[in-house]
Amino acid sequence: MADLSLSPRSALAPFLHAGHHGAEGKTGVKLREVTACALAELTAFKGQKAALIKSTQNAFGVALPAANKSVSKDGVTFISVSPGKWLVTGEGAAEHDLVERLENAAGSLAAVVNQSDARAVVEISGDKARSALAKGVMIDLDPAAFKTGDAATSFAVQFWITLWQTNDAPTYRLAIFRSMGRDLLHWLESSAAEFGYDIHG
Amino acid sequence: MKNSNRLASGGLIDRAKPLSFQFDGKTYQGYAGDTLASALLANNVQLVARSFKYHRPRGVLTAGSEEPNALVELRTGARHEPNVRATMAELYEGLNARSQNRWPSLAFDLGAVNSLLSPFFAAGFYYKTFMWPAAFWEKVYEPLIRRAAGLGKPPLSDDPDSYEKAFAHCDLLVIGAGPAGLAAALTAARSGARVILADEGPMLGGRLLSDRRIIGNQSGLDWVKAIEAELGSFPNVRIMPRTTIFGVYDHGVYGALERVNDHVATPPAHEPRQRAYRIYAKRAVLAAGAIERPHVFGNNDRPGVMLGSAMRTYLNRYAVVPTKRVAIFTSSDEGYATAQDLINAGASVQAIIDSRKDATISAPKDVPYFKGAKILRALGNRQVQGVEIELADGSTRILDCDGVAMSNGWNPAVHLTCHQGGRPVWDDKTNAFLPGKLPAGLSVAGAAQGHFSLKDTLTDGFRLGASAVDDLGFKAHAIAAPDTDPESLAHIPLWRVKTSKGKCFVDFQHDVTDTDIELANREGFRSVEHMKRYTTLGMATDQGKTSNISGLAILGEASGRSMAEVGTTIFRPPYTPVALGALAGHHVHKGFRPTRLTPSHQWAEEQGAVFMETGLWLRAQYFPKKKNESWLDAMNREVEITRSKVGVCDVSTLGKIDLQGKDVGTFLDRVYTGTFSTLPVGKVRYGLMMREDGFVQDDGTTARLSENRWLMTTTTAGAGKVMAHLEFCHQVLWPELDIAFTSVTEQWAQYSIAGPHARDVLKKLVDPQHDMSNEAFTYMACGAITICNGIPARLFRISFSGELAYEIGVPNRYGDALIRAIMKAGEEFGITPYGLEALSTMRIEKGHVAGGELNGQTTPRDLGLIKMVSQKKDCIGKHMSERPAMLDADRPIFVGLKPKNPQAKLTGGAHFLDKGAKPSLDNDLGHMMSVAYSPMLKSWIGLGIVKRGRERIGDTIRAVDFVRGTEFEVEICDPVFFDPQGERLRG
Amino acid sequence: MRIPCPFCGPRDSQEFSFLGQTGLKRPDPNAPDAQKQFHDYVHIRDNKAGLTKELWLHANGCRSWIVVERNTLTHEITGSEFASPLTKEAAQ
Ligand SMILES: [Zn+2]
Repeated sequence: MADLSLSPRSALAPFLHAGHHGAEGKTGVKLREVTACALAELTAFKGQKAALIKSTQNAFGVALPAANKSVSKDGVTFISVSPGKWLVTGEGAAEHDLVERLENAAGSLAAVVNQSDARAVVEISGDKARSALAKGVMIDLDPAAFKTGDAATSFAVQFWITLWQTNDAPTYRLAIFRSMGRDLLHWLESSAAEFGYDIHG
Repeated sequence: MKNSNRLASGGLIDRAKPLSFQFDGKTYQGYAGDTLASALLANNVQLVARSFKYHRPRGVLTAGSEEPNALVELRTGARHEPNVRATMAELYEGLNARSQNRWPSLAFDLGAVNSLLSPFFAAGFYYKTFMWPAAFWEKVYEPLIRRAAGLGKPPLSDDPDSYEKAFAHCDLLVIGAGPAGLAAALTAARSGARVILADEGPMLGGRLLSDRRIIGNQSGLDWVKAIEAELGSFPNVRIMPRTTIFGVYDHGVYGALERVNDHVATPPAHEPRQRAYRIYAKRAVLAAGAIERPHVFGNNDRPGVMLGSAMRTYLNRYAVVPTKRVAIFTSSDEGYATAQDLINAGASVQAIIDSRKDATISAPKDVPYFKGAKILRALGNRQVQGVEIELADGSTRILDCDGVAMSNGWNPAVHLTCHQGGRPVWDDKTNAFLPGKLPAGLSVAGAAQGHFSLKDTLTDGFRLGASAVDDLGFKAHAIAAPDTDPESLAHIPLWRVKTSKGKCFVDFQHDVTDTDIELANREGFRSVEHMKRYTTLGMATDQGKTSNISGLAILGEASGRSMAEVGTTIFRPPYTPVALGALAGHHVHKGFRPTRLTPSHQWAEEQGAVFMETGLWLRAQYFPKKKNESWLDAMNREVEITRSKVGVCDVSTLGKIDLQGKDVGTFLDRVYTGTFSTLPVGKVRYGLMMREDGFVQDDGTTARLSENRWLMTTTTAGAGKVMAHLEFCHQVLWPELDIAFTSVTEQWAQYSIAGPHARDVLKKLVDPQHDMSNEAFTYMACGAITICNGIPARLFRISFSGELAYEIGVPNRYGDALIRAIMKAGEEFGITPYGLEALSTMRIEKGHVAGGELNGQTTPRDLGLIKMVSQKKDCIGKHMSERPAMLDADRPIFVGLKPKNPQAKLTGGAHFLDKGAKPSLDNDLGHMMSVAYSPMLKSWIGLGIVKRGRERIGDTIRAVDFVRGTEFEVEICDPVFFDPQGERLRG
Repeated sequence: MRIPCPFCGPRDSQEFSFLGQTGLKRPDPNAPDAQKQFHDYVHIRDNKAGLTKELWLHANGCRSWIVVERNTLTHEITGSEFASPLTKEAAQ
């Protein structure tokens, strides 16, 4: 066989330009694409939610979160996205065996679908992250209303998003359809420009 | 240049920052803190505009956003902006403004001749005069009227500035930062509630910036500063100056416009000019204050005639004496405060003309004072040069003056309370319309509620700020309103001076006079809504902020009704005009809607592909081989190579839905016309999906990947709708079924490889352990494989082109690499990429239905797909698709169409008629749905529906397109033009 | 306008798409007058002025079909619930 090997490419790779952008002399926002991260959707079958919670608790050491919440342990994050449905991310060792571990835990209790390539995931942090996001995100991100561990599926600018907060910096992660990555980035960059922003490759 | 009307000291301007600016080409000087209006008045520029209809000279009437007269064009070039209120435009270095609506110059305006023709321009003029001939409306009358009567001209080039949208949330939104608003914000802020305090001006304080008042033991200004400082210290408070709350919407949603950079020449880099907010507020306090009423007397629109409150604003806030010899026309005790402020500033008060016979307040010393008197008219043209007054005894006399200050009571700014349909209610005690039914969550404080005294205003603010947040569970500590200096607000409004001489303007911006309203009444337009539309009162860009109430009063007087009986029209958003650019925000040009890019996008760009939009997706339309290759030539080449060798096309955009669970088969049987529960694992079946009304909504293939796991594909454009439909069927119709859906459209990059060499190309990619032979991997087979040394992939042997074809899907991260690998592997076979044009041509050659046919008006029977509808079971839409009319033999049915002349360029949408038949609905046989040039048949071909078409194969009919002006003879034929036996795809 | 999603909480109406009146039962396809029943099911609506129960999809959110109680005269929304008992159970 000829040299027909396939090398992978992340969703935003063609559009990311590392370095400082926007207003000079300040960095209110930091942006980076979250790569090396597996994604899956876990959907409980009819009447199996309680059993699924028990089984994933055993396998992952955490309880599946309720509406508008996320939980993390050992590189695995469960994000509640719909009744009986979770978006799961896996980093570090979990990047490579997330789907398999989920399938083992789920058995016949839930559908597991690999979505590792279906979303572009962006991380936004910095003291102006909230102000930049507020130029499109319609939900309230004030610490009084949205804290570390909180999550939402919502609409921003013109994208269906899943958003969750990972720390108090604050740092947010935002997942959207991969095909819209370029537009998402364009919006984020124009929203962050007045605060000055860094893109980390 | 000297500021001849500027006081030597005082005011809230920054004298250390002089600014120069231009008006109508002349350079003037002002200071930071000025508005354009205050700076013009400081330079004694009184004539600033011409009126809308009569081109009358106009000056500055107010000092706020209610200004009807002083509209100017601001900035130049692409940043040019018409109809800017000079009273709101903050001065900046180099500001360039021009008067508008005049020709050739402001001082000498030929349009003023309209004034002589004013009998023709009276109310209803347009309706009465320009009735006939109708053809003249568009070509003659309207352009003439538009040129003669109009406001500023819009810029013609693209706006170089950017605009943003943003969202904000709070417990309490306080609208207006005057004393009531500040009090409300402070109480709420201290309780810990999240507060947004918005004001349309650049400074907090409201009337306290304009009137010298005492609150507690400090000046009004110091009180404002103290509160502002305290509010600024709270992390839970957001102060938004230069922000107008322009609309109140359902459920606590407020529209706000922040003029981020209107006060500078050009926005700093990376900053927008304006930002439109949607504010979600649990509660709101409206503290928008009130707008003073003008008097309606002869020539009351002359430059120099000004609201008394505005005059005090210019004196105290801007240290400008607008005019130096002022006649005070008042129906309120407030006129005396204006007189006192003028005297303090060294101006001369020529007289106080008080319309009240028994006013009890005493006039300042040495000021001529007439009780029960009225101004009949102002004298002078480009500026007031005196007034003719009528004394209580009926005698008249002329007074010398160069300005008039009017005080006639206040109209509460109830505008926002109307945005949910609330109608203001007349109150005889305050002589004002007060808020009616309020939008949920909104309360009204201070002057906006008709509580005009400073003490009452503060009391309201503290109280309503507290009750709003207490409602939400906060514990606000009551704050008592401090005492304030005494004020006298008694007034008896004088709606108009009946014995006036000359034109008496009610609506300054639309040039509506008292006699226009009387005329409307005489002609039967007695309802306020009718009068408004007939006279256009209140319909200008200021929505009649200074005119509506006087207009209603005059209508009441003319028709013998009380104010309460007349009632009022309501105000609608926006409170003040909002630029469309701000509403569009980010959504301009390509940002208007998202563009979805395919996995092969970058590669296709490198190939010079021409793209087209399908839904939100950008897909390759064709791949021109050399520059200037036409779409038709490129498409022909792509089809010919695909049909003779091999081609590849990105089909990742098709919707893909992963279905799992033990009831998926049952579910599919119910949503598809065909039976799927019998589909073996490893096989694919074509499916047709109807809506419940019996019309086809989508089609696609569904593969059974394992016993309980299936993969459905939908059309590109239908993906979102189908997903919602399936979720409806599951959640609402059949929740008992055990299924789980997940959209996987974006997980997989998928390519169709089609043509006689498709298998040869594929073999070079697929890992060797997989048997790709025709026998092992048959038509309509599917399976999980690996390619290129272990990359997981899914393979489907399905064909839209009619050729031997495979669709191969890989995780999206490999999508870019895979298209390059396919092209490389196919090189030796002469592979071509093909775009949507070739894809479409090939499917038309094969008679496959697609977007043109799945138009929401066709049943399976119409599309010749009745065999796809299982008769053994029910499915969504089955009963409705079998209604008698749907099965009528005369209902047009799907056929192919071939022109008698192969080069006749058929058109979609053409209607079919028999030869010699007149083009009428009765004779209509159907219409063309899709057309293409077929390189295989060397002819244009079409698909369409024809009445009794299957029985008429071989007949010749006409395809008539009245829109494009073409008519061709076409032969009715089978819709499958190419390879009718379907031998190629099984090869 | 804001709509309370029983799963996500109050959200901007931009996140939702509207279907129509709720409480319609899909007819039994085997009923002797099934065609007539389907006609009514597809086309006949109360079109009430006042308090209505409507089906909305939280399309740009959790993808739940929900029933929203809304007064068409005032736009007041007085409640919402999951359209499906299954979704309700899964949301617990
Ligand atoms: Zn929801």
